[in-house]
Amino acid sequence: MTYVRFLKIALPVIAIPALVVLVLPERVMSVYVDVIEPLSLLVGSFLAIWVSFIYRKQLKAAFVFLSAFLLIYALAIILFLAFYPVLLPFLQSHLGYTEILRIVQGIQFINYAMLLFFCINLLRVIDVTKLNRNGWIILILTVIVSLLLAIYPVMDLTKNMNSLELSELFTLTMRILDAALIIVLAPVLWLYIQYLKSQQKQSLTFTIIIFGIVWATLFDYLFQFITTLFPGLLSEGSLLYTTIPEMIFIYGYLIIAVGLYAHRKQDEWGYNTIDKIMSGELRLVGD
Amino acid sequence: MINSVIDQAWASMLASVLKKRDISRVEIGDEVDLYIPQSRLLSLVESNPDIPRLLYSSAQESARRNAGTIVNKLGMPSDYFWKFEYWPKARAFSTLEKIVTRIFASIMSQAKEGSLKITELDVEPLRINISFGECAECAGITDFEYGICYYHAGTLSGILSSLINRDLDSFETNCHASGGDSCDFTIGDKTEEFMRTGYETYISPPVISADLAVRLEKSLNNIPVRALGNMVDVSYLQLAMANTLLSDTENAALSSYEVGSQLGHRLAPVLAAFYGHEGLQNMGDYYFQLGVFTVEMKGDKSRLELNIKECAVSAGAVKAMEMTSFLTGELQGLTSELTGMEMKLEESRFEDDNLLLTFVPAG
Repeated sequence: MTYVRFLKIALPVIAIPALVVLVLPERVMSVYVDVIEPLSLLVGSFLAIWVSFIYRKQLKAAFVFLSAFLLIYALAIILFLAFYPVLLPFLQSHLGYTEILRIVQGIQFINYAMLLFFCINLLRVIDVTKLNRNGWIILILTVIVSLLLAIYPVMDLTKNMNSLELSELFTLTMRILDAALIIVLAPVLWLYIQYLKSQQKQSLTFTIIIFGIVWATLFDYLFQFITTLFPGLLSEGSLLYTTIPEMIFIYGYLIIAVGLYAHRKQDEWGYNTIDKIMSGELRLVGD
Repeated sequence: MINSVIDQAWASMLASVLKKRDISRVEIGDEVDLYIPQSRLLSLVESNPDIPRLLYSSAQESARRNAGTIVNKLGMPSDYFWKFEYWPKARAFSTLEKIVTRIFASIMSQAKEGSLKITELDVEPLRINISFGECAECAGITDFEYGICYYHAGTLSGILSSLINRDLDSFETNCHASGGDSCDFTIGDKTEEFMRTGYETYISPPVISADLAVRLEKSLNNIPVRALGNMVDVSYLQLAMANTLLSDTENAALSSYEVGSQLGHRLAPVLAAFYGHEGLQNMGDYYFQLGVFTVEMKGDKSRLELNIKECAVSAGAVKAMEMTSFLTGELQGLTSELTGMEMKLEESRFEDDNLLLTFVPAG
């Protein structure tokens, strides 16, 4: 097995559990999403910690923070954000709506802090100054597009900035943070393309991990943007308003997990391939 | 052209490990005596103090290029050592050691070039210590006070530079030639002060002078100079010679001819004493015994034609006349001494796989 082969098999295969969401009946779908989403995040969290063992300094820290982010996110879904959250009914019997909202918002802020620390450590490892001219153009376009995607669907909120409620302010902040996340991670993707044919080739598996994060963030916003721009695309109250974002999230989380697994197994698969070629079991590449 | 010879030699060594190489020299076999590459490298180093640096740089550049080609052919992705500087010491050591052992130590061992082993590795600052036992470059050479394995210093740093994609340099800390049990190399980042100082001291040795006659006698008498035996793959000879010619090929070939000629003059009495034949027969026996080539001689000292078959330096599909420059010079020196008349090269050309040389009296 090589990681390229693994990715060629795994990336289409994980689309199946994501696409299933679109065809399940509503009730089954919500249970399915409640299980598969946190599960894929928990697997990703475990794999990120496993990957952190093979690095040191900022790269190790980056994977530890990624693991913490995925773990907290999984727990937040299980406890508060799922269709059938575990803790919410209990809290509702003891606390008011505003208090519960603040708890959830607090957890989300902590989670974003994890993601922010992940990005900070990543930026210290990835040499953004190596971006070529096209890279910088792409980065500027990313800033414009991601801010547009994040803000356009909630444009109404920005019109009354002075009288925003806390929850509205929170929503707006989250969306801007998501846009910032895409802006920070976009150079990683471009650097991979930039160095594709060079000796300083960037890690494919690492790029896949980053792509997974960008996917889960970007495509949800893209979907919201499109449905805001063309409201007639889906009939009002359509289940697709729920299932398409869920499908995007599940596929994104699974991409992260697949990237992490391939990243960790790369050493071992490398030895095995070399051993097989050296023993004559496999042919030389290009022969 | 010389780069093609180098690439062909690396490919041939890889094919040999994979048991996919056809023997190119059916009669004489694909090995030559260690003395042949040693005498050439040492004579060149002796003749010009810039040769260690040139040899090192060429070997480094060509090893870097070919190591990249080899690992790609073996299915190792080029991002395999991504962010090596962030790897923990244990992972860095074990992974690099496994890859080097599986690929390059196998290639060098198969070629009888030596036994390569990474003994120690630190990641910050980067230090890779390599032990290279049974070194083909210096086995049997003695009485030096410093390391003389410039080709291998360049090759090893080139291989590792290619693998971890960093600009590395190396210097020798211990050498068979200076009484060590193995040739040991320290490899680290080119820009680092410790490495720069170590490299500069190493690459600018005091005057080198080796007693090649004594060394030749060991080979002629089949006295083992190392546990691996006295023979080495022809690809190694080709790599060593080609790397002396890589920079400014035309002038390097002219110098090689001159230095080869001087060596030929020096060796003729040793051969005459050892074989005890009359005249040129000593020459044919010498080259055959050490696995360099077989030769048919025609004519006499007024016009001597040599039809050289299975020549070690030009074995393989890529033929470069520059590769034969040292040998041609050596033959000029030997024929001059063994005929008792100063000879000069009138013509040299390839005919199929054979090298045809014509010597006539000078002046």
